[in-house]
Amino acid sequence: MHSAVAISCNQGMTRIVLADRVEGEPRLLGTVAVPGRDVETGLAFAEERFGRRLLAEERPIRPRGLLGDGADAWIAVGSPASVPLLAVLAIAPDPLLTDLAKRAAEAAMVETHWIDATQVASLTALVQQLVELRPRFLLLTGGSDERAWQSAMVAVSNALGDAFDLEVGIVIAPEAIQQLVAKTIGDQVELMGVDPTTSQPAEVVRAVTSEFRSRVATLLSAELKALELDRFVDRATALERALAFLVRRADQRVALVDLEQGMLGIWARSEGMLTLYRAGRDLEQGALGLAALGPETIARWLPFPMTEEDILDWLANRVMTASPFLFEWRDQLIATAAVRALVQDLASAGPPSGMREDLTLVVLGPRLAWLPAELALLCALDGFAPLPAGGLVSVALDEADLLATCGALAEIDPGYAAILLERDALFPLAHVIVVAGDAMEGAIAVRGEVRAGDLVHRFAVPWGSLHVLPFPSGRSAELLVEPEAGIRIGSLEPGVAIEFAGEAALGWTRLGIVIDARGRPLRLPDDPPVRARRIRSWLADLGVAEGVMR
Amino acid sequence: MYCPQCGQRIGEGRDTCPICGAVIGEPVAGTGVCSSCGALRAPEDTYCRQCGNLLPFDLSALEQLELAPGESLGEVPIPEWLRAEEPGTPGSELQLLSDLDLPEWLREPTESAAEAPPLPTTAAFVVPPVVLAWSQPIASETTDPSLFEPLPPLLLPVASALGRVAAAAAEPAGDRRLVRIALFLALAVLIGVVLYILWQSR
Amino acid sequence: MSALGRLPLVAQDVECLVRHRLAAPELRVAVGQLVEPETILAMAADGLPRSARIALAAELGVAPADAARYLVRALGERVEAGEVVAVRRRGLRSQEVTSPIAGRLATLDAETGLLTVVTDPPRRAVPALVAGEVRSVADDAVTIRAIGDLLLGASLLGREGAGPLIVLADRPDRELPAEEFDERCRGAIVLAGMTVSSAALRRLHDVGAAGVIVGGLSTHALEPFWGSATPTRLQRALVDPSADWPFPFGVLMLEGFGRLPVPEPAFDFLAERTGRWVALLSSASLGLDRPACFVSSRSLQGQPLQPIALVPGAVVHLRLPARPGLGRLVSVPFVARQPDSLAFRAVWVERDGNREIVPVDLVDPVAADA
Repeated sequence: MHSAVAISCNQGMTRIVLADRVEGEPRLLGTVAVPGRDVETGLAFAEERFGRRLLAEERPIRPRGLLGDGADAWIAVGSPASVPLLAVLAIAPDPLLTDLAKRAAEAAMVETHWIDATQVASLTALVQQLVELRPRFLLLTGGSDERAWQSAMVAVSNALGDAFDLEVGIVIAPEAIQQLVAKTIGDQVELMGVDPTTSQPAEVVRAVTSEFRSRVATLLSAELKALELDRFVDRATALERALAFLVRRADQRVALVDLEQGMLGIWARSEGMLTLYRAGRDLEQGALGLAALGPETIARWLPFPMTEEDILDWLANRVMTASPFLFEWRDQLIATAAVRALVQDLASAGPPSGMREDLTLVVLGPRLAWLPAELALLCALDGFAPLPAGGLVSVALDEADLLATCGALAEIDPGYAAILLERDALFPLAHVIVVAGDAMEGAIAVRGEVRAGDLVHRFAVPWGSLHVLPFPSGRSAELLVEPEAGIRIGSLEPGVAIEFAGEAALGWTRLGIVIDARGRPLRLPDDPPVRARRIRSWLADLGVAEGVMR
Repeated sequence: MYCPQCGQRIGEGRDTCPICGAVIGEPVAGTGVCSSCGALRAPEDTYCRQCGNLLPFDLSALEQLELAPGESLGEVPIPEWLRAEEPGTPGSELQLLSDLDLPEWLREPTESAAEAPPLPTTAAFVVPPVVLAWSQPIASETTDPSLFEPLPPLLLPVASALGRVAAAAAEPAGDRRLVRIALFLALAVLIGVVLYILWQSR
Repeated sequence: MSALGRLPLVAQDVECLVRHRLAAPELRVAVGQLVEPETILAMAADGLPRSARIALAAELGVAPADAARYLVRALGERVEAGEVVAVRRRGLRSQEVTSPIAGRLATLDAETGLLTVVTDPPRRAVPALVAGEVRSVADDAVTIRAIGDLLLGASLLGREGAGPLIVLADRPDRELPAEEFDERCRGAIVLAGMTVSSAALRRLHDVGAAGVIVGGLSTHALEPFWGSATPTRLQRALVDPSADWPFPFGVLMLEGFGRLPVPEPAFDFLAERTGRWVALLSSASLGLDRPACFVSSRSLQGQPLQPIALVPGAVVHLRLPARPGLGRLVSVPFVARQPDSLAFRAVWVERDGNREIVPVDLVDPVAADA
């Protein structure tokens, strides 16, 4: 395969990614992003930018021509315009099965609505809820109480019919219950079942999630039918594949946040992977969904005072304008605060504390790559609050949306995708040394030196601050960091120094090496003016001018 | 003023920094300036003494020879420490320095190397190479597709716990049977006791 | 690219096709008929019918075919929400089934035992809102060709309305106290200034205003009416303006949410038309991407509403919620690439001595002859 075009289709942005062989090796040629779901304009801009014809009579040119027109593979990755609604009905709830259903639903790239059948006043009320929700998918889970299942299925059966069309129902229950459900509503809706007593929990979650995701991909393919593409892959699957590759190849412990459509968070390490999706929470159409976090959770991350009403107005304007642009520094600072609150909230539902923070790599999705580098870094550091065991965590940007592209391309040509991913996918933003412990504010926490060629730069970092060591361009750097007594780097013993030298020298990053001596957990003062001052000091430490922080 | 080594604010006129111990020394006579406030800086300063701003590494310490327009190297006075004796000058033959003239750390190791003092106990911690995906690409096009297979889901209830669910689902039926047998036995005992009391009372 | 145009913020003597969607209408007009703003086009259902399905047989625990025996109200009768519709006596207990909504007992399916309660939406008279000629009449819509002046807004919350325009604010950035909204506002479209508070909204409701035009509206003003559900209900209102709005009149925001002054050209436009009949129309009625304030004229001749080419030197209105305002174009539209991959059509605009890039979608030429 020589070249590939990926159409990344999301709510607020459409991206066209073009890869081709350069000196025989697959490389990214470029990405073009256009606001909104506008594939036609995106392809037109891509043709203009890359100087290649991609379409002939509104159809993809396939295979790639001698002069580079067209591509050998055309894929689409993303989400349909409207995220489908999944209703999860817990009948005679069993905590373990509920947890399984929860994991599966949260990873399925759908909007989830929970109904606990035991909490509903009557059958009629349950019917009414289902009719008003009009879900596209249904997930049924519960124990073995046949009576409860029978009456719940009567309600579901009554709700179905001409009231609304359900595409599929999945039952997580023993075989006997599955039979009961099939007998009651099998004629009205397509049903699938998973028996948790005979399948491993991972299999149950994987089966349910895969089924919903494949249907989401089908919805996407229906929207883009006219283009006759080779593959349609949902965004979560594509990103999971790419992260799985990073974990296996580079032994990383990765966390990713993606805000293309709703909010997607993925934690991946060699033991496994956790995916959480929250529909209706992003910086455009889903901006008002952030109000559920409470405007005060956003306000606490701002370097200037802003009332909760002003924050709600800002969120409402984001929905109304539905514009992805954030040109003003003020808007960017508010967006950064919102992202930090969002990521913290998502992370609290994620892995348990130790696993959640022990990260070697944090990846920010393409939407966040548009923020100024310093603000993007804060989204990663403050949102995830990483505390890597080895003391070093790297932050990278998926500027070109290549992770999803490579994850989708892997279905066609894994070798091509692998090289593309390794070479071009991640843009290195910063290497961060995380310092923990306790010390007086302003007292020196760590000292060290960074060596790049013949240049040696010594530094000392006060407790409670961030310190940036810019990279001389194009070089790698050797780093030695020595903590003071009582201070530790990552999870090392207090006072133990850390050195990156020789083969372990650090590669170039955009911002350089950052020493995060703010401690863990990150503490913000309760007093709002003091808190704002603290946030401003961190921004200043990163080089953001004081004048923009208003 | 600010300490040029640690950047902390300290009182005016100090010789040493009370926080990091750096020797402040004489007023600056360097060629560089701070980009923030324009104050003079010494080449080895890390922080500006006047405003505390972080300073870039200054190469001017190595640029001792600045030529004025029209000057040539031959006319520039060379510092004492850079002068070499002219060839033919008495005593200009190259002589090897003896070890005794060398500082300690340049001398060849001697037989007393075995008696060298041990390394300090707080040795630096060397981290194994960080293999970052973007710095060391080594994938080939024969890459095993299983590398892209999604990893197993994390943090799920243990299968044995689910087995307990199945066993618990089966248990109620068994439990009910046991309860019935126990009730039957209890009833039988009660009836027997009543009969015995009646028989005794006759 | 220089041919790219945008609709002007204000336009005069333009021809618009206003399409009123109707549900189950009883039409009262015909094609070719001349209508006034208060002419009734049809009697139509106000909203969609609601229905609730009561699992009667399942709730009572009887066979579906027997469920009819336990009804205590006849089919076709009207019931209130929570009212008992069926009772089954079991020994000393009696089991009751209530209706979840108010409506009419429509059908009882003998096969499933399902009782359907239907709420017919009230019917209301649908006025034309604009003066013009009926262009087409269909089962679900009436289209009127109207000539008049148009002012584009940012968002319309609530239903469309029409009435004589009354300009109460003396400046674009004035916020009026609630007492200012008095009997003069009855049946009128009120230009209220920069914003209105919750007290002002209540007052406008009390005096029976037909609509409100403001620069911006704060979400805080809606909280007394929506409580903690304000964000969710606002999200719904932005998608469907007539749904879930607590007032019988609509609010047209010219800039967005917050305390934002009325744009100067818009204020001047409205001030010149005090007393004229205006309508607040939704984007769907106009076939545009934004709602508008339409001032009917009696002329039968108008020019089609056309985008105006963006040319350097033109005065433009910038719809940037962070900093709305006026500026002057200093470039033709071009494809900006920022930061690296994002491509969008943009223009350079000069404002307050500074130059900035603004996406074309957020730029409105002020007027056709500007």
